[in-house]
Amino acid sequence: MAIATKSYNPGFLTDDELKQMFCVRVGEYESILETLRENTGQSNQHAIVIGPRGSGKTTLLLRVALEVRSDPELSSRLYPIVFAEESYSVSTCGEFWLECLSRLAQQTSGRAEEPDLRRTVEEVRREGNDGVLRERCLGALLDFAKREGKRLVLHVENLDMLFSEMMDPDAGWCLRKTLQTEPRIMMIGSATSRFGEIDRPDRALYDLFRVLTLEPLDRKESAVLCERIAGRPVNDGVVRRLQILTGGSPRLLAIVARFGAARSFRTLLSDLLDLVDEHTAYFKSHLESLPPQERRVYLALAELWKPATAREVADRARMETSKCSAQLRRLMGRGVVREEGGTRRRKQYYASERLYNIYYLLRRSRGMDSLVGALVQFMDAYYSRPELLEIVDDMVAELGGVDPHTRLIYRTALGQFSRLPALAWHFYRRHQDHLPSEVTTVTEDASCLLEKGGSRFDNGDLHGALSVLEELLRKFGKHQVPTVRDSIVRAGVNKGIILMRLERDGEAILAFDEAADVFETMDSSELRPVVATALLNKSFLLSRMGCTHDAIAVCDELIARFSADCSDALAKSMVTALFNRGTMFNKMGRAEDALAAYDELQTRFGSSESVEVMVGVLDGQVNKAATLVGLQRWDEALKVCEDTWNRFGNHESFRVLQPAYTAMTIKSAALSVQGRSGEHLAACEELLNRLDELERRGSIGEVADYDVEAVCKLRLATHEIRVLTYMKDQNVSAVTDDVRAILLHLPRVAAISERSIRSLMAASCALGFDRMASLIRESPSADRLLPLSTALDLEMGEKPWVAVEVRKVAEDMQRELAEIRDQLSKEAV
Amino acid sequence: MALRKAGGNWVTGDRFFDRDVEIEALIERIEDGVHTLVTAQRRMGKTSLVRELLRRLDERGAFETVFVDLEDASTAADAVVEIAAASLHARGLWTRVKDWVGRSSTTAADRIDELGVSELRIKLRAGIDAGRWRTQGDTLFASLAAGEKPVVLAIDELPILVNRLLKGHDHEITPERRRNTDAFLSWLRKNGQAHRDRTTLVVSGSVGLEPILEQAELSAHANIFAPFDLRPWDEETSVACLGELAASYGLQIPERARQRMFRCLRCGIPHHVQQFFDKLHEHLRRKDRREATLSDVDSVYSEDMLGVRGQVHLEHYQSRLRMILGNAGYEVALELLTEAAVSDGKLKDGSIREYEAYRSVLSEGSATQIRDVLHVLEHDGYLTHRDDGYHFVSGLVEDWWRTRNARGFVPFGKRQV
Repeated sequence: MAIATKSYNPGFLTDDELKQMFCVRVGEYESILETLRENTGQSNQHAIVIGPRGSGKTTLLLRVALEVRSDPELSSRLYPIVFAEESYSVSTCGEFWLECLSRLAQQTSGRAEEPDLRRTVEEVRREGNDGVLRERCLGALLDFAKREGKRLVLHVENLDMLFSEMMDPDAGWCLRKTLQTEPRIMMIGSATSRFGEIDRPDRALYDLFRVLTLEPLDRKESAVLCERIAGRPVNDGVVRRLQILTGGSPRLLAIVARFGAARSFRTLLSDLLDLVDEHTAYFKSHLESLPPQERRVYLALAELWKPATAREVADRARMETSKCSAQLRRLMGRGVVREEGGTRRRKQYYASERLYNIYYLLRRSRGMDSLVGALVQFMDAYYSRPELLEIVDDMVAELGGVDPHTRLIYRTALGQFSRLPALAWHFYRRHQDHLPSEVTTVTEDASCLLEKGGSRFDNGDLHGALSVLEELLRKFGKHQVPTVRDSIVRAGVNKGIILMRLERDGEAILAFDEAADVFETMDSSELRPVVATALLNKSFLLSRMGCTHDAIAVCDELIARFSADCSDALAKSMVTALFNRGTMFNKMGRAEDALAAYDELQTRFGSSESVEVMVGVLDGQVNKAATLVGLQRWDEALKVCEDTWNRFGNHESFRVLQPAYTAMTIKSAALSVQGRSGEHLAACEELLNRLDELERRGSIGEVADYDVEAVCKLRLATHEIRVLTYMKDQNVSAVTDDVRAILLHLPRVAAISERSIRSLMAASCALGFDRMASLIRESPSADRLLPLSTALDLEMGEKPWVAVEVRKVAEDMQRELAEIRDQLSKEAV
Repeated sequence: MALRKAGGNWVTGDRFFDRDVEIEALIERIEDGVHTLVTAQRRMGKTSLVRELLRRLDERGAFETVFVDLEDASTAADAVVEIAAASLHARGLWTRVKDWVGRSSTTAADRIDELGVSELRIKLRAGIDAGRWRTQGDTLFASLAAGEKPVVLAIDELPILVNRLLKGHDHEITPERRRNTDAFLSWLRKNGQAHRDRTTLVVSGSVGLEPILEQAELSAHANIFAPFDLRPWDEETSVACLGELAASYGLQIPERARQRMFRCLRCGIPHHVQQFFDKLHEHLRRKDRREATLSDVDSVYSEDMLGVRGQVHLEHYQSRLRMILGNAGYEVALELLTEAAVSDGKLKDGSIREYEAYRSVLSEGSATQIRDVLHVLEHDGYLTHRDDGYHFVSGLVEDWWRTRNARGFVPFGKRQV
């Protein structure tokens, strides 16, 4: 059932309505109840809920009070006293306790067995000495608590406002004393932001409260609230857009969740006007709660609509940039402005709750243009791209049949829609009639150059491609038309890739940065993967230049910038960035950070069903296992390997199976190093059997993405690890069998790995050089292993006839052989 | 009962963790009649320690115990009223103090049993004025001392009252305020000495008493108190506390994660340990999980403990320096600590020499001033000296200091002399 949202004052809800609509802030609710349940000793823990207007403080506190009244355990020992949302008449400590007593008197009126608290209130109200007033009210409250055998829970809203209006400088200390020493009184307060009395170490309430900060609702919570309001499941994409539009404010979400089921432009226009009219008082109160300078900056930002730099906001607000930055920081502290996108030096800000932009755009100026402009902005934020395309197509189709006034509105709206980055290409391709002719021409020219650059690049003409892309950037770099700016971003990224290929790393980084800067001004979903690629390449280049810290910072930037977008195309880049962070931390010897990065990868994308993403996550788990082995944290390493295998060992795609099998080779290596020979050999046996089966299924096309060489490498790795265990066990015949297997499979891989050579060298120490040399010569790997067999001959004092180059390599191998021999003899000792 | 989260208020009994050694040491002092001033950084658990001490003394039964909180007292007379009101809770003291109340207020002694504590306070305040508080206070002390059992009188937040007497609401020390403060402390000192065998004082407070007395040149009044320095928990204790808390709330925090938590903090100030646990618990609650990973610990540390909101709890580390060192010394302390923070937590001896050279151009006697400030920073637990320089004691304070003060700071080595 859908819930009506009549008003923004939850104080008007009945107990049942309150219970029914309370569905978010559940963690905070449980946390407060936990505090109340644990307040059984001689001192109490007090709590304060901090969150901006509309974040759900009042609802949360009312819900807690309701639970205290209705839960048998809590109601048997606690008695809530709920203050009015705004206690204007309190200016001293005595008056605070008087207000408390008055509330109690109201709550208990009509109880026959109770002494008449109203009369007490009237009596003490005449007391002129504040100290005496305090003692008498407190005494009456404590007497009540004693009679009831309950602790009093004071629910005090807007503590920040209450203290800002206190005239008594010692009021805080008096309150602190009672809250610290009187077990019969506890306080649950709320505030719209942190305030001096709790923040400043020289103030009385500093560190007295357990602070619960109400963060904007995340996607899951937003979905829960939207569904509760709408009374039906709400599509995930819609939830995400509503979350962006409202900044995760529960009150605004409740307002817009019921909006926009209709898709007719005319209905939407009238709905939007109604919505803003209905909630004007709320919007206004939000703006009026800001101090004048902050409000000025906030409104400038609201007017700009798009994310803007401090300088842009300062220009609009007609202020100095430094002063504007300070105000923006304060607004961020209040949670009404957020920092997102931009670069480290040029940060961008936007209003957290974009609905205010709409409100402000509508209120700021009159006339159809601003009205339609506001609706278009709203729709851009509210609807997905496919929905917007549909709306626009419908409008174009309806255009001929509507009255002249509506036609004028439609034309104005279509003109504004065509300027949205998300729709620009659609208009260019399908509704050129609604585009100015110069837009069409300039788009064609830029696209043409982009394509030309692309075809030269495909033909291997890197310099030719570079000069065409540079021409495009020179010619159109300043253009503001979204379709052209799209081409500029793509050209910039392609230019960077070409420069990277030409090993002009510094210039390539610059090109990627410039492309990302242009993208900032016109964020569009199609371009995000392109810019993500640019950032990945930039990170790679920085790492190649030895600037690992900076490379990691770029990965962080990518992750932060695109974490809200869940498209598959971006997920792949995000996975790569998280994986690369891990490997770079490993490279820097920061194993713990690397493990944290792989964990984050798993947490964020572990449940993805896309093969591309899954492979990245699994590679991260494989690296995690290897890192844990390096740290000798065996049990954890084995657990990672086994979890990976259990989850993915039977996947239908070989791309997923490959890291799962690799995890098992790491497991077998870890068991071998730990000296757990029996388990190790069993693991190898199982792995080889599974590889046989995989090979069989792969050969008849039952495994997707099957890769013969990769299977061969897995097989080699297994034999190469197992042969070392057999050597330790001095099982010569088993060593011989594994060596034969290695020699049999080596010709099937494109390049022989260092690990293969070192295993054979080690095995030669166990079998004898002579025996190993003859095994090599008898095998299909004889040619590829000629340097090794030559090294073995040289060790045996023979003078083989080989080319000089082969001899040189063989001599190097002899040195390595000597090292391995020394190492093995030390291990044997 | 299992250990629970402590939050901001004091704890005793099942919720009080560790500190057995300290409590035994304090009991020994009390048995020897030594007046004690419990000193420690803020949030070390001084009030909880004293409350728990009294609870255990009550259990043993050899002493009468009285706990007085002076944080809302503004005058010496208020303090006397508070001591009397608090003494009424002690069973063994009730009769004697009741007589005293009868003499000191306008209420007949036989009616006192009918009054609640709040009413009593009102009557006493009416009966004790600025002229009589001293003699009435002397009589009160004598009444307390005349009982069957010796009395332990724990006075919490004495420094707040002293600060208020000395500086008033406008934070100015005037000759009259200094005289009043002197009178109050002399009275306390005199009674402490006169009844040493029968009444032992244990004084504590959320701000240090010594720096306030130093400012007023009244340090001699603190001589009757033997300082008792309450130290932070070591790694083993902190990790054990986190383990018990985790078990109480049904969370899995592996030992490695608990060790990581301590290593982030580096100094086991009980409130910081508790706060870290609370924030980790909230974080897991939001994620709907019961098991914490190292990555959770790192993220809670950087985003919650060091984030804008977490930082507020550490503000006092900076603000108290101004109170202790005055404006000039505060500036030096700020610079020294920031230099250490931006140099991986280490203030090298070489950097101190560079700073001395830099300051000497600005003012005379700067080398002595810097040494004095360093002495205070070391004494108050900000820095510790080892190898060739000073290091931050607390990792949390170091990281916080860097976040708060590093922006725009020019390291000593890069300054033009």
